[in-house]
Amino acid sequence: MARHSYFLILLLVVATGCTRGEVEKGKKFVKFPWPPPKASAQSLIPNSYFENESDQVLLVKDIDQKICDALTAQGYSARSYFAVPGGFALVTRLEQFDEDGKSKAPPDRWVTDTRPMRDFSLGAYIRALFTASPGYYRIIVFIVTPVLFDQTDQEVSRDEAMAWLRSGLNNLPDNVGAQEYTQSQVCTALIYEFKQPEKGTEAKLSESGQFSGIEHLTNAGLLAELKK
Amino acid sequence: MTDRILLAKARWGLSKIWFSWGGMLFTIIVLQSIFGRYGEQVKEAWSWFIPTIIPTIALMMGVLGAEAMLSGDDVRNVKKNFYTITWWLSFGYLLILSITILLEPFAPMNAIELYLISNFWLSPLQGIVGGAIALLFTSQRTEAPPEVPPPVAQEPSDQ
Repeated sequence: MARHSYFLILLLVVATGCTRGEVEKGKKFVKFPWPPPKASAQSLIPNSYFENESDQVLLVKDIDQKICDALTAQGYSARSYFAVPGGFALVTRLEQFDEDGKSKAPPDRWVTDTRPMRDFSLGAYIRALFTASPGYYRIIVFIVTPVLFDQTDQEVSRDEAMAWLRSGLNNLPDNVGAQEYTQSQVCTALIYEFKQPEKGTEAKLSESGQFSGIEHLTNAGLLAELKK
Repeated sequence: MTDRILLAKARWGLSKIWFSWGGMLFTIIVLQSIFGRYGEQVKEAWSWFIPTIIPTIALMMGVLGAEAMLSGDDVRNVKKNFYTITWWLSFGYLLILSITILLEPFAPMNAIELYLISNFWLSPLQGIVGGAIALLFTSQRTEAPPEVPPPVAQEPSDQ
């Protein structure tokens, strides 16, 4: 019986997805590095994407819900929340993408190193033998805040960026989510793109990534989901 | 049936396998360098590759060249068994070297890391092959002295 109860609680937690909560006593809503470290690309998400058809007041948690729904639809199950002045930052898990910007299919999508060839085809083999097979990775950070910001010159390493996922909260605190989302609020997506020259080598931040912010969001399928 | 083979023929047989196979591997590394396979690690790739075949090929080239300068045919011969062993050792070494280069895309580590590790199996093999080849290629032939016509006895002059 007790096992069933645990299972039901777990199921409830998973099913509710972006449920709200409060930060545990003695702990803080961890701050995201501010201003954010320099990103490879950025994109402002038009506020029209978040417009409410009903006359109800739009809250920050509704924006979070919309972003969460888009992320879930595109397979981004892990995310973490940080505090930023006047709002929050939502960090996605590091994912690997193809040269065309599309997310790789799992399990390659979530691994942190490029994998050696497994399926043999002559074309793929010749390509792998004679040309470099770099790995491309990205982390998307959605920042929802009315505060305008720039970026610092600090170059974040891939390991540091990956650590964001562990150090943030698993959900948006109630007090932040309850704020009204006004027209002065802006949702910005910062894309941290990393390039690994070859398997087993260190991935480095691509200062000016090969794609624009909007291209990253489009290729990741997020823009279409946010438009819905 | 003789169990010996002309030294010149043995040298030529070994040179053929080394020049053709080594040349093919050399071309692969050149193409990989041109297409950016090694990225910023081209220097490391060549630093690994050059000692694997170039010393042997250079030795062969030098000896064949020196031999070409000598007049007359080399009639020395070697045991056929020794030549056969040397040929198969060369074949085995070049095969293992090729496997290391050609199967690298399937290796979990990066190319340079694999090449450095490959020294563990290539170096002992190269030592054995190099020893056998050196024996066949470094035995010197001295040029035979030009044939001098026997002195003709001069008849004493009447003067």
